[in-house]
Amino acid sequence: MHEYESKLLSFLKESKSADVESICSGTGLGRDAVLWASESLKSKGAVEIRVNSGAEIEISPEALGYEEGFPEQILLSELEKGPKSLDGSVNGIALAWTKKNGWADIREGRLHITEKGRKALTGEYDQESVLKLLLSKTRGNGDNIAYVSNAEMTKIENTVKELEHRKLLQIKPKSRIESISITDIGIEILSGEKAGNGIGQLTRDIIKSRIWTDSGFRPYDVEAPVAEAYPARRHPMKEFMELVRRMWVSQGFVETAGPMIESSFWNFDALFSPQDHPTREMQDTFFLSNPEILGIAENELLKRVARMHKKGWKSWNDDISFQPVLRTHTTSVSAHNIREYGNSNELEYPIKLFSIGKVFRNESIDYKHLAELHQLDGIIIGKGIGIADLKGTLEQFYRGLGFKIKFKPSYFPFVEPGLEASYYDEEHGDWIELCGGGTIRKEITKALGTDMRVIAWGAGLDRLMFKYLGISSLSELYKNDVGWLRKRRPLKL
Amino acid sequence: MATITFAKKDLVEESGLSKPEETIPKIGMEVERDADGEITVDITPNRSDLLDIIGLARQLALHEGVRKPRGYELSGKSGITIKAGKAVGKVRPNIAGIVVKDVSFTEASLKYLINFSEKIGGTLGRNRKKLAMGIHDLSTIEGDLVYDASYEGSITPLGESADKGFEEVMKENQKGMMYSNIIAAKKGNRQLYPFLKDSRKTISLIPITNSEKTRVTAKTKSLFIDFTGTDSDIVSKVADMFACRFIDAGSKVYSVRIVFVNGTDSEYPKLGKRTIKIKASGFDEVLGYKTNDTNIKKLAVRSGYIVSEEAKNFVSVAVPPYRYDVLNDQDVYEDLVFAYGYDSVKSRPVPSVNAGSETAFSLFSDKLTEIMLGLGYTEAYNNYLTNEKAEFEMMGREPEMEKVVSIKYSKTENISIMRSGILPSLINNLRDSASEQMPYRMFEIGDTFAVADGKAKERKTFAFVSEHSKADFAEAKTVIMAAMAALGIELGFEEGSGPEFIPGRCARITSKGEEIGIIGEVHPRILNGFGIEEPVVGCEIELSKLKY
Repeated sequence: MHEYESKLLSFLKESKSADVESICSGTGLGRDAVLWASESLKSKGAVEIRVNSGAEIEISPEALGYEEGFPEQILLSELEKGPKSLDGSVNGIALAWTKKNGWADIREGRLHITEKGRKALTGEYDQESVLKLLLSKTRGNGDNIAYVSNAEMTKIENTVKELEHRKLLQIKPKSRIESISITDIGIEILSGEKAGNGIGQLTRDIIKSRIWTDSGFRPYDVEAPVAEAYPARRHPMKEFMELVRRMWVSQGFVETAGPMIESSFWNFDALFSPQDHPTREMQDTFFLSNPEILGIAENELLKRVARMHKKGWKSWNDDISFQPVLRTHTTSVSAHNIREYGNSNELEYPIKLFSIGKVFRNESIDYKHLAELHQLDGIIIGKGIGIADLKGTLEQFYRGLGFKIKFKPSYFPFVEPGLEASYYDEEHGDWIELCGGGTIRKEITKALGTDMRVIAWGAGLDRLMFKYLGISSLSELYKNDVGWLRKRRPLKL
Repeated sequence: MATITFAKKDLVEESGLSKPEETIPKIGMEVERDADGEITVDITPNRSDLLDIIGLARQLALHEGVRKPRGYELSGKSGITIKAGKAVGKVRPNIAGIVVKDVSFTEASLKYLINFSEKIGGTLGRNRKKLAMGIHDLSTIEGDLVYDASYEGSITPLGESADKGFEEVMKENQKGMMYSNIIAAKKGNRQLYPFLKDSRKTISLIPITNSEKTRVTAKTKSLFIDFTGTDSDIVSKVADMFACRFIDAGSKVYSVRIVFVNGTDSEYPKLGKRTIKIKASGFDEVLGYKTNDTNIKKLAVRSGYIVSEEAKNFVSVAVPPYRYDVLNDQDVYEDLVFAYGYDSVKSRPVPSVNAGSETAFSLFSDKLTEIMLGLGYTEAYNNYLTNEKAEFEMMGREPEMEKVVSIKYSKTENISIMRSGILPSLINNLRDSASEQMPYRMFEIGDTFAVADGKAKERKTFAFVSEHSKADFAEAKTVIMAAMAALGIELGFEEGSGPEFIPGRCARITSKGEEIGIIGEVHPRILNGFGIEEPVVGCEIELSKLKY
């Protein structure tokens, strides 16, 4: 609502009904402002305007000169003193109207006052009275237009016609606002209770001028559609990895990281995977042509691992160990960690470590097989720890993700004994594997230079995204189509 | 993992268990399918002995205590001798053999035996290289046997009726083509073929096919089985494994004499006796706490070990000859834990004596992510594996392959290298994002790769792109400056150039005088190549060069 409208409504709320002039003086608004506001409010049903039809009468400059008396009146007062001869000194207009009014007659070439004329000297002259009335209806100061309603006009109509005929007046039919009054709707709008009006966009002016204190706010259609907006969002896999990271940290684990481009030594040999194991074939693992060789800096370590293989698998070849691969599991990071933290002065035992990262598989890609996957690996290095600690640690972690897990025996070449944790998936009606683990074989811990016991586990993260994100294909995850990233559903853990 | 399928009723009968599927997970294997009267089991690679119905039934029955471990003895010597020649010693030196009598097959049990031998050759035998075996009808063998290799020879392959030259078999026979790469021992241009012959005929072209003439049928009553390969240990252990399964099946097993060129003369199978000492305290150590009342003897028996010696604190157990996987006491403890059951093991979280923490990079990366999200950039996460076309050609770059981490062999066509930058991925993402509401703003924090001085470099890298009708250099510069300023990092900008950028609208980004990245308006030539229709600005910096 415009401020003029609100001023007008507020004024009318007190006075109920008023004419334009009093509204002007009451609100301090100009006439045009009041007229505009009242028209606008009328269209909203907030006010009623009573209009009066009539005429606008313009008083000619000649008539203005008659304010002190009409020419026939001046002639009449001269005739009172005696008859006048009809020579050039007698005003033609005055002569004509004196005769027409029956105030004088002509005898023997002279103009004589009549009985009626004598009466007129003391009585009112209707033309004069009407002119005075009209003048009083102008606003003065040179404004010479008077408005006469139809009702008034009936009383003075003949005289006005005479005056018009004398070209003293010009008459135009015209309607005019008589009064403006507030309606019930207007009162409601003012109190801000009814739809359709009130303050729309709040502006600096409205706030500063406090107009809002006496005008309502226009209610909006809160169910109407609005423009779409897309917040910047995290990639769901990164979001999930971050969540997993925080959970391990909250369980007192120290995050570690290791290389993705790894020697076969760290990816396989240090973990007691036989050098001719099928997973080490090019069919399953990405081997590199550049760089061609990744040597092992620590010669003693290399020798110990070689001894472990010769004893366990009856075969060893340094060259195979130096073949670079893209790590096939984050357990390679755990191998580095056993070497690095197996004799730590920095941290107290038991030392709890984890890592999260990409792993690579030479796969034929389809909806559930990707060449790049994500894993987490964890180890605890300490004395007197065993399967009970592994169970407790994994139960605690997976409880945080909302899984109740169960354990069953399993096999991994680097642990003894090995286990697998799975949860019951209601949707599939089956147990789904979450994680594998066990106690690292003594051959390995010894070769990596520690007498401590190490429990270890590893888990793939990608498959969980089917469940958390409601996707049907893993490859959807890494297309990075802006639309998908914007609109993908939140992770439902 | 290898899978094997049996008729369920056969497994029920063989094991004496009414619901073998419930016991299978308890011994560490997995039921992959259990329907239509069949059961398919996943067998872990350490227990190839369970790829056989006899072996699996044995282990299940032991675990449930319905069977006790037994000893495995030979019924005597078969009297058959195999002479190993000189030539084969260079290509496939190891051979063992067994003779089995009192065999009674059904069609199903014969099929299980054949499947078992095939699976063993495929898994433990590493596709018949380390080990392959041939099963023959003993009654068709005439005289002593010779194991050797030659450039030529002939055999009537299984399933065929006529004699064929070795070379012909390699070219025409399905198995010949499958395993030809194993007989890779070429001398000059000529192929040396290992074979096994009796006094009249070739009974096996190794490891390709047996002779049709020694074919085993359901009516066969006695068997000769050869085991050959490059790994003497595996050859001997698999011979043991088969001897055990036939003894379990109620047959009699006899040894075969092998005479090598160097004079070594021995009988197979060995059925060697190994004992391992295990302690109650050792078992407790594996679990991580004192169990006190646990009867490790009972657990050992349920795992298939015969207890040969019993003392106050330990027992000695005999490792059954079919258990090639048992290297030392740890493997026995694993079996004891399986027999004990993981459900019986206590659960105990480990107290935290150290504070948990993230890596410095994880923390830094999180901060940067938060800032970029705040600036309206959505996070992308692209694959690290890519190809030359996406990485170089599309970006108008000339590859310097000696600096690129390259893959030797990929099953997937569009994978050949590791990415050396993030921008190619992000610009490709813009292309894939057509018809969404603009602007497109994306960033990625990840790794990029390079080779320098023969070593692989893994670099932490950050990049972002913005695409919309008013995208320009100033926008990108504002963003990188704002992001880095929020991390307390001051940047410098110097005139730069790159094939993917518009000349004069590209800058090298520096920090403390060191160049750390590049920023610019992407050249419309590149955009045309991608089919991108709005202006794109991009920026990439190497975070590894910053302190975080």
